[in-house]
Amino acid sequence: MATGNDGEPSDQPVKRHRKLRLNMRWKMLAGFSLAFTVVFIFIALWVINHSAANAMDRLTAELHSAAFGGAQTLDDRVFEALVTTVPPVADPANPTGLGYPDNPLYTTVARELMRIRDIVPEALPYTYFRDPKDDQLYFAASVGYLFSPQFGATYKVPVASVSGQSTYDRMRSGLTATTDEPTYTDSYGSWISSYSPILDTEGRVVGAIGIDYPTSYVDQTQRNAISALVPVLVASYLSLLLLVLIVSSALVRPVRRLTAATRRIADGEYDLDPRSLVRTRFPDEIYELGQSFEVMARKVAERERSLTSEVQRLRVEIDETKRKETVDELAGTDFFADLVKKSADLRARLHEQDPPADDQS
Amino acid sequence: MTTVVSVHSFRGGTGKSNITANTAAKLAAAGHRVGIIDTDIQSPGIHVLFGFGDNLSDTLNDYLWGRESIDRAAHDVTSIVAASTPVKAGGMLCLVPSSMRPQEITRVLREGYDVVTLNEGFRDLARSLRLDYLFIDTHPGLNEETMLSITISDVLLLILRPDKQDFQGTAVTVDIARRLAVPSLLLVLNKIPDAIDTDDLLGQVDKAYGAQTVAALPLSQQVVLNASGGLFSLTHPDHPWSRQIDAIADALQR
Repeated sequence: MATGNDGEPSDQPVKRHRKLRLNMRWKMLAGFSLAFTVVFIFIALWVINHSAANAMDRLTAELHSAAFGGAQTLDDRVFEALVTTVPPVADPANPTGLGYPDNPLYTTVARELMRIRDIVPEALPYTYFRDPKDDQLYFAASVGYLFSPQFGATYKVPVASVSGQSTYDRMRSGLTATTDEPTYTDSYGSWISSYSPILDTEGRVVGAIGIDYPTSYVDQTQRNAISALVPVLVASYLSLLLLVLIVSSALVRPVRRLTAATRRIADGEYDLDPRSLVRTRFPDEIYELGQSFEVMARKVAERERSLTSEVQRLRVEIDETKRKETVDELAGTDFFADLVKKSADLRARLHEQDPPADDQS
Repeated sequence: MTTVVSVHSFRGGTGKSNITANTAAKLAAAGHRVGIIDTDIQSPGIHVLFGFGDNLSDTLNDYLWGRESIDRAAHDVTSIVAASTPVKAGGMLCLVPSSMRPQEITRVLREGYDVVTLNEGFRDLARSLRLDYLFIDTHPGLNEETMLSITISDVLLLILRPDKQDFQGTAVTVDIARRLAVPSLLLVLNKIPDAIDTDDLLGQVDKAYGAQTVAALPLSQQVVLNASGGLFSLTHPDHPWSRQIDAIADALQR
C-alpha cells in the first residue's frame, strides 16, 4: 500500500548511459596541451622559415657584391691576355678531356680569384668568356686549380657541356650586368650563384666572374635554429603542462572533498567540519560552494532530527478486559437486544424492491 | 439495489467527513448514483466540502421534524464534482445535510429524534433517487442512532487513526458490528505520519481486528491545508492520499 512517499529513494545515482569517465585533470591537461602544441608548432615553423629566408637573403647579397667586387679588381689585361694567347691543354685524365695550362697568366688570375675566398670562404669563384668566333661561352681560370683540381672547371671547357640551359642563360647575361641565380641543383649539390662582367678600361666586356655557393650553409643555419629552439620550446612546453597539472589539482581537490561529503551526507553523516571541506586563504566561488554545502548539511540534519524525534514505535495494543466490559455494557441494553433482533428485518426493509404505496411522499 | 455504507469512527477528528465526501464523489464520477446523509446532527460539517454555507435550508432536521420529505432535503451536488473531474453518464451525487442553525442543534440535543423515522428516511431517499450507494456520515462514538446506522448498513467503513485510543475504541465498534451481523466490515487507517512503517502497522491491525483494511491514508500537510476547501482527491488525483481514496472506492465497487 502506498505511503506518503512519492518516489522510491535510492542509494545509487540515477543510471546514466555508460560513458568513459575522464578525470577533470586529464581533460584540462589534454585541452591545454593541444592548444600549446598548436601554438608552439606555429612559433617553431615561423622562426625556422624566417631564419632560413634571412640567411638566404644575406647570402645572396654577399655573393652579389663579392662577384661585383671580384670583377672590378681582377686585372682585365691579364685576363684578356690569358684567353687570347693561351691555348687549351689536353688532359686525358679529366672527363672533359681538357686540363689546366701551366701558364703564369692562368696562375695569376686563379690567385686573384682565391682572394675572393678569403672574403667568402665557402665560395667557388671562376672566370669565363665568350668566344666571338662561335659565340659560345668557355670557362677560363678557376679557383679549383689551386685547391681541388679534380672538381674545378678546367681551362676552355665549353660551359654548355657542364651547365644546364638556365644557368647558361644567366651566365650569358652575367657578361653584361651582375646577375644572381637563385637555388638550383646539379650533380655536385645545391647552389646559388652570381655572375659579374669583367670590363677593360674602355668599358668593353672581356669576360665574367662566376661564384658558386653551396646552399648547404643555409640548411646548416636552419638546423642551428632548430637545435637552438627545440630545447627552449620543450622546456616551456613541459613547464606549462606542469603548471596546468598544479592548477587543475588545486581545482579538483575541493570538488573531490565535496563529493566525498555528499556521500557521507547520503549515509546520514551530517557532522561535516566546514574547514575540512574547502580551505583557502582567498575565498572564491568554490569556497562559497563549500560554505553553502555545510549550511545545507546542517539544515538537513536538523530536519532529520526533528523527524526522527517524532517517530514512535507504534503498537496496536488493545486492553481486552476493557474491550469486553465496554461491549457488554453497550450490548446489555434493551435497545441493543431489540436492534439485534430486528437487524435482519431492518436491512431487508431498506432493500425492498417495490415501495409500499404509503411510503410515497 | 442500494448499497448502504455507514462511515463511522470511535472518536471525532478522524477525517470521516472528508473521506466520505471524497469517496462518494469518486463513485459518482465513475457513473454511480450516490447519496450522502449527514447524520452527525450534533456537529455537522460535510456540507462545507461541497461549498454550502452555514444557513442552509432544507436539511435532515426538516425531515426529522416532519416539515418536509427526505428528497426535498436532498441537494444535488453533481455539478460540484463535475467542476473538478469528468462525471460518467448516469453519475449523480446528492447530499442531505444537517442544519447548522444553533436552535436546530439544541433541539436535537434536548429532544432527541425518532430513529425509526431516520431509518425510513434512508429507505425513502434510496428509493426515490434510485441510489446505487447511500453513505451515512455518522456522529462519532456509539449511541442509539449510530448503532442503528450500523445495523442497517451493508458496509461499515470504520475510520481510525494510528493512536492508542482509536485502537481501543475501534476494537469495541468491531465487536458491536459483528454482533449486529453487518455483512461487510472495512477498516480505513487515516492520518498516518510519514515516519511510521505502514506495512508493519497494517499487519498489526489485521491481526488485532481480523478485518480487512482497504486503505491507509498518509498524514498529508497538503490535505490538511486544503482543509474544507473542496474535494482534494478530485483536484489532486495523483496525490498518494487521493490514491487511497481510489482504493476505498474500488473496494466498495467490488
